[in-house]
Amino acid sequence: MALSIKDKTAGLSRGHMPSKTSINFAEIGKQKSHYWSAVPVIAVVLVIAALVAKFGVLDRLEDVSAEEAKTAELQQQLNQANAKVDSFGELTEKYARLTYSGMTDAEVTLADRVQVLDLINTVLMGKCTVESWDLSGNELFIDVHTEGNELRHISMLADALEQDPRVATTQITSSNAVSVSSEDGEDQYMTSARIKVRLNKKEVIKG
Amino acid sequence: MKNVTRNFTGKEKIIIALMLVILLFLAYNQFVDKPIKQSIADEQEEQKLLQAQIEGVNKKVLALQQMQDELDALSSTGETPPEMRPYNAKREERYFIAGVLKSTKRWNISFSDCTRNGDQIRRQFTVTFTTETYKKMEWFLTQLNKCPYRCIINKARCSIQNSRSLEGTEEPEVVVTLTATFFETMVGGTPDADLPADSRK
Repeated sequence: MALSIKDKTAGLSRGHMPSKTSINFAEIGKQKSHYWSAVPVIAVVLVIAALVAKFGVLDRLEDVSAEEAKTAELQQQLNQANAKVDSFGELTEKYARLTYSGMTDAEVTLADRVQVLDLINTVLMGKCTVESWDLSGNELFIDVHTEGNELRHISMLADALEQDPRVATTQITSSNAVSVSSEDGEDQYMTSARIKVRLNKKEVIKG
Repeated sequence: MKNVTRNFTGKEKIIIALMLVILLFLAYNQFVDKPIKQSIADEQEEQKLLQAQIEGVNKKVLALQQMQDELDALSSTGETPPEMRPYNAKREERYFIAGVLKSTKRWNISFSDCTRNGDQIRRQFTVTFTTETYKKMEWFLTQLNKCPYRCIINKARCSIQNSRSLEGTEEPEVVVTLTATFFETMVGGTPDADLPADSRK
């Protein structure tokens, strides 16, 4: 605020009057600053801003990009895996229809029934009379009889059966000899036996 | 009139600078850091889900590959078993049995209710038949054994007996009693009212 003194009493003698005609107290103590003095501050601020931009923003955005790339890669892997599943088509249905899946081991390892018939035909027929046979699972009981009073014959039949690759073991479970009177009055002997045959399990490819 | 404009003091400048720094930090945190952290967390969550899905699909691929290998191995050995029909193929199976039974002299057949164990359907039947010759009996069993529908003969009892004909003469005949099972699968099958409950459940 400037004070101006207009002398109404110009004629009065008041001694030495100040030469300054105005004063601004706000300017008192104020040092004149130069723009150049702001340069270091601006430089520091810019450096800090650059560091924040680099480590606080750009690097972090790169992290996000890396994660996005990783996600995209996983998505691609998933798509490829799904495509591979699709490429199998109706495999599950085909597998269910054409393999032994769902069947028990006892069922799939049953000896081939036609091979059992063949075993009886090739090993026993012609060497004895087969009266009956009883097949259950992989166990076969064969009732046979031979002429003569010879357990040895029965034993040979059991041995012959056991030598067949389709047979695991054989056992004569019972045997007896009976004499039968023939028409000419002579006694004829007949030896009957029951032979137990344990068949080899069928080997199959089962998942 | 007083003019009060003046420069900030050193303390004021420090306070203003601190406030500016705090403001900038808050703005950075709110508009840069938080969204970035959220994006990374979202991506990582999605990656976890994708990895779990990939793991599941890869297991499926492995199982399918094993199925394919098994099928290839079966076809390479030429031991592909007869086809297992989808549930419910009883009509085809009955027609097949009827065709084979024609060759026999007498027959008697009984079917059990089918059973279910998972996808596996079993349809058991017992048949007693008589043939004039052993060869005919063998033919019957061979036909059943190579039936186009999956069938296994569980038990069979064969006996050669003598029967008296109407003329009073003794004639040999072969009598067979057998129990066999037709296998069907629920894969591709259509459930109906006759479908039994799954014994696994």
